[in-house]
Amino acid sequence: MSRRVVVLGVGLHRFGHFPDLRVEDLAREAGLAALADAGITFKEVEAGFFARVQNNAGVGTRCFGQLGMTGIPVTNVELACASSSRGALLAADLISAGVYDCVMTIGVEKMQRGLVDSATEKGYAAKMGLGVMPAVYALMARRHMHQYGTKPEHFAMSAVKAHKNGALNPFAQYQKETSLEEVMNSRTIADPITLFMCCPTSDGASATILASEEFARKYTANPVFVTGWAGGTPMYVGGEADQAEGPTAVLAKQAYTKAGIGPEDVDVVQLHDAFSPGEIMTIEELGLCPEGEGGPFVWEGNTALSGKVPVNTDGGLNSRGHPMGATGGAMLTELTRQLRGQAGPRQVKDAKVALLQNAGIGGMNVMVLTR
Amino acid sequence: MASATTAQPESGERLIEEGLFRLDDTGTPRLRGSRCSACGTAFLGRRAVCLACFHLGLDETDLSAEGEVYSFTTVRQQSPDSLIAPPYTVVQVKLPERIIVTAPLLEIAPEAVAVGLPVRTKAVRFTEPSGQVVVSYAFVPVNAGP
Repeated sequence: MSRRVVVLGVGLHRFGHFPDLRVEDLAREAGLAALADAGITFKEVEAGFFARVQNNAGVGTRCFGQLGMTGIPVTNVELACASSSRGALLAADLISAGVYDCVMTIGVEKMQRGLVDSATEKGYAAKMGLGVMPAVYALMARRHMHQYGTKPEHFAMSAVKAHKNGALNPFAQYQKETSLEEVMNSRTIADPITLFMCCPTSDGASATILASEEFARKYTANPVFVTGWAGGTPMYVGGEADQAEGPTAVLAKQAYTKAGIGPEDVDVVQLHDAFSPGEIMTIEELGLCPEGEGGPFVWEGNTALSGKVPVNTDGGLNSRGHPMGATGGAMLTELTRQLRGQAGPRQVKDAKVALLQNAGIGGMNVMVLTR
Repeated sequence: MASATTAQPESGERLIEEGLFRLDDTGTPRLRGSRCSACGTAFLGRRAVCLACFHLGLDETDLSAEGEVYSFTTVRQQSPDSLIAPPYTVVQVKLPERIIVTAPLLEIAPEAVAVGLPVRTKAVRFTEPSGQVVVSYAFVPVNAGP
């Protein structure tokens, strides 16, 4: 018998560069914000997940220890850029199965500036400069251009929209609009990807508190439910060894089925735009537009705040920033606020169904939230 | 610093990564693959378990030295450990075994690269910051010089 799961509390530390703040400080601020948002104290939290990519032993316990030392199990979750959404997924699994009533996930990162390299050991890929993330996305983008006639301007429009939304978000790393020309003319990193199509390196933190419906209703009359969720890893598919970060389409279908909806029901989306081509490719995989039409769909404004299916209303990874461990929780935070009607100037009218897609090297998560 | 050659690694040189490829008797890099002795599927690199049929027992095999460009990009930013200075072209190459490999593409102007371009492997030497000479592989157009 599985119980309904609620997103009870959400909170952030602003994303940017904070050299004087420790990981513990970032985590604490996000955690306190989420507890206040939920209306609970730390004593009610029964388990914790700590999401950070560049990790060392014990940091999860130290960060949770900033909020209280109540002896709860704290588990470190690492799934690269999808760490804190995997933490939330695990929390949902445990709550729906009746193991816990209230679980908090904290995601944090403090990052060096510069390129993130997916080639871990100093082998061929690292020495031949192959693993740099912009190049990985650029190869996918070029393939998309080859198969469907997608243009670099389509990718650039995603960045323009991201900056426009970021300008409305006081927690975003970049809060300044940018023009299509500025995006297209910014320095090429790995063509067709230019600098302004890349997410920045960031420090920041997010915290999300999930709870059972029964527990949540003591604190809110209008819960936001997690009605579908699925996590996965890349699958071998008979020779076409793509460089994709996970089986998005498969997971989305699983999450839609669990939630009892289809892509046409989705009112607002958070997806993984580490590099702007990610938006164009992912909206197709999520079934939000026909295969191959992601470029024109974004170009024509369908994913803008005023569009048919607003994507990344807070600026996305591109402008909100991307402290790797914190991003999943930040996606969940924005979607929860949208469904509660708390998104202020970024509010999507009558948002009732939200979709989250968060990808990382080694895995991907999809969640559906319903009001 | 890269220089083209087709000879076997000389004394003092070493392969850039053990077990990634070998040079055959014509000096052509042959990527190491693993072929399932039960279903015949081939994979890149060393594999102990077949991903297609889960058989335990794959045989070492040389993968094809020629394929076609599946996708490409020209990288213009230096990455910290790279021995290749930007700009350089990175390609995904589809081999006849239906395996896609990622590697640098040399000896062709970036503007001339297109999906479908036929390419072949070529040994390339680099000198690491320590002074160690390593033998690596890249792709070049099938019709490039020796």
